[in-house]
Amino acid sequence: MIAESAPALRQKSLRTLASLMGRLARARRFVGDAAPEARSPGAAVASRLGQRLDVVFAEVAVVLPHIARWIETARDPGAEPADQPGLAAIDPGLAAMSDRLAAIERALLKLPGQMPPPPEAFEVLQAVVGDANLAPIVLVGEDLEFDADGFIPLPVWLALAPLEWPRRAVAALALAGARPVEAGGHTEVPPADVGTLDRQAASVLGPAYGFALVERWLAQLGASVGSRAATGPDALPVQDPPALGDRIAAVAVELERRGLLGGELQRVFQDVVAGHLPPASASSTEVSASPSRTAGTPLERAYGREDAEAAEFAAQRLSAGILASARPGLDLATVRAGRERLLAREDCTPEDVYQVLDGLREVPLSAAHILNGGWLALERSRLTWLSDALASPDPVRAFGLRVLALDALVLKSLETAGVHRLMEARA
Amino acid sequence: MILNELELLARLTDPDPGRRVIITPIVNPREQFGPTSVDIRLGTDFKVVDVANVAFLDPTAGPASDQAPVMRSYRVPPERAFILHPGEFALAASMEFVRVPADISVRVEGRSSWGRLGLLIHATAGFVDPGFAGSITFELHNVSRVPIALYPGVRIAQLCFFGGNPTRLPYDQKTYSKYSGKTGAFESNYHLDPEYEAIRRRRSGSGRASPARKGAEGKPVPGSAPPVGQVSAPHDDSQQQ
Repeated sequence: MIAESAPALRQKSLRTLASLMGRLARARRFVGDAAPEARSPGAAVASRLGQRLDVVFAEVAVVLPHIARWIETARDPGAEPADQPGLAAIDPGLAAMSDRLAAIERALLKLPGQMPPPPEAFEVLQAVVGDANLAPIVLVGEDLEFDADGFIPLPVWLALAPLEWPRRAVAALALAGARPVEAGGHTEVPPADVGTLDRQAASVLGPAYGFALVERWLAQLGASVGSRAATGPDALPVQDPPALGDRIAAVAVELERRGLLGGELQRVFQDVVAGHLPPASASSTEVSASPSRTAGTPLERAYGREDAEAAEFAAQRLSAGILASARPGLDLATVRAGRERLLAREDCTPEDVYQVLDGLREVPLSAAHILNGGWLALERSRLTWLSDALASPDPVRAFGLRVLALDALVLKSLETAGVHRLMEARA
Repeated sequence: MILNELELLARLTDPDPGRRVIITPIVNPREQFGPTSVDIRLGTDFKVVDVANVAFLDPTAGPASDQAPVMRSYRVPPERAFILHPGEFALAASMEFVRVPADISVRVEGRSSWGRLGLLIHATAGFVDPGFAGSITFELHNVSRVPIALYPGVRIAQLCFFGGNPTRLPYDQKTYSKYSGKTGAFESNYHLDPEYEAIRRRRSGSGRASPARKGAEGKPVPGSAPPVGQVSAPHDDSQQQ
């Protein structure tokens, strides 16, 4: 068991957010003025959000060594700290996911020129996320100075949550791509390995990885629109693995289909794609030409039909504020029909009733399904939440609480699915 | 009218989302469904009062952010146990998420297997209003003389569903609903009850010291009102989930 002080942690986060209120007010003024480079308030919002995300990625990259160390501890019961029992007992599905992410992060730790983490800027509070013992927790120090034009305090909230994991992977791979060469001309992480790590991350995280990449590209656009050069060691590598473009294109079409890229924002996104999609997209065309890659929606092509359906189900539930740890084994209409047939019979036995009730049995979702459901829900809601928040008397808190609520639901879903899988294994 | 298993099945599969009862996850219907009840399982999060931080409970002040939390949270991974010692009290959340439409209310009841061991699953709040959505909070109390190991995923309570006319005041739209949509073991928000505001105002007007006044080491200052703000009561006014 892990003793924790989640309420205190959240209160601390809230205080941090409150301290950013002034910055948000400045950002609102900025959006109102609309930077001359931006073509509309929507583009200005996107660019500013992008700049904020750029800061997020830089921060997250610095924290990666902490995360890797936590994962090592969690996977090795012998290394379990006495005051943190329970780390060795994380859910096997999540442990497998952490394993693969850890492989990525371990490789990154070997990179030359890796900056040591500044302890005064980050504080590793404990080896759990908020209320759950599932992932690392990293809280941005309250005294950390954010960009003067700081807009949305995503670092604080999303660093606490599994929804942050895809961003971590993107930042990690970007870091790998940006620093592959030693002074002697050798690389500790050859580009081919970076590509392998990228594919691993994509397979673990699914489309959420693509969404995180889109965010990153928006961040780069923000840097250019705002007359800011792409900065830091985590700048996006120019040479992406071929499959990357394919996934990004799929995510772009999916976002458009969902109406998330309408109007000005769509043009912004198209600029991102046009400006940053590497020529390697020719390879993705080649990949897309295969029959297995052309069937279904873009999300299905990027993730597999069953996976996409499961993630979509999770997204719908999470968007409605409902736990998304499992999905029905049978559709409701089939179960209803079974009940009707039962009621029409006069010789119904208890076993007959049980057979109908068995139709209510639910199947646990995988961690990746839940995570992607969370990202789909987030992508659908973010712009609305931003808009609502700006109309609120306390916009930072309003936005942060909604993100926090979704994250808490994702966490509870991940955790519940783990217990559910255990019960299934017993059966 | 209490719903039997097929009536509840009808509501669980109702094509109208507004009338549908949601219980998720349903792991094993054969284990969970009875003639007029559905068993629900223990989740992974628990809260216990950290008595070292509590002088006593006073609802006239809310939790203060600069004070230590009074309830300690515990996460119990699958396959591990939370040990509830004799006489101990703990909050816990159900594994299931439950959503109840406007024409259905729910009673949370214990299971006889646990009752015979001396485990109570709610202290006084065993009622779920129409319109509620979230995890069910258990108020666990071990009244036996031996510790009890509680594992996440075990069936620990049962829900009984009652049909009636739809309410115009569903729980999630009540003026003072405090626990709607929660999915964990949330401590009591009893200090938010509006009746305490009058007491606070009267105290303030009479010039009494702030109830949260403390000495340098965080201990109550003699003569001041009690250090009430940080206290979280381990019980609620009613289940109201």
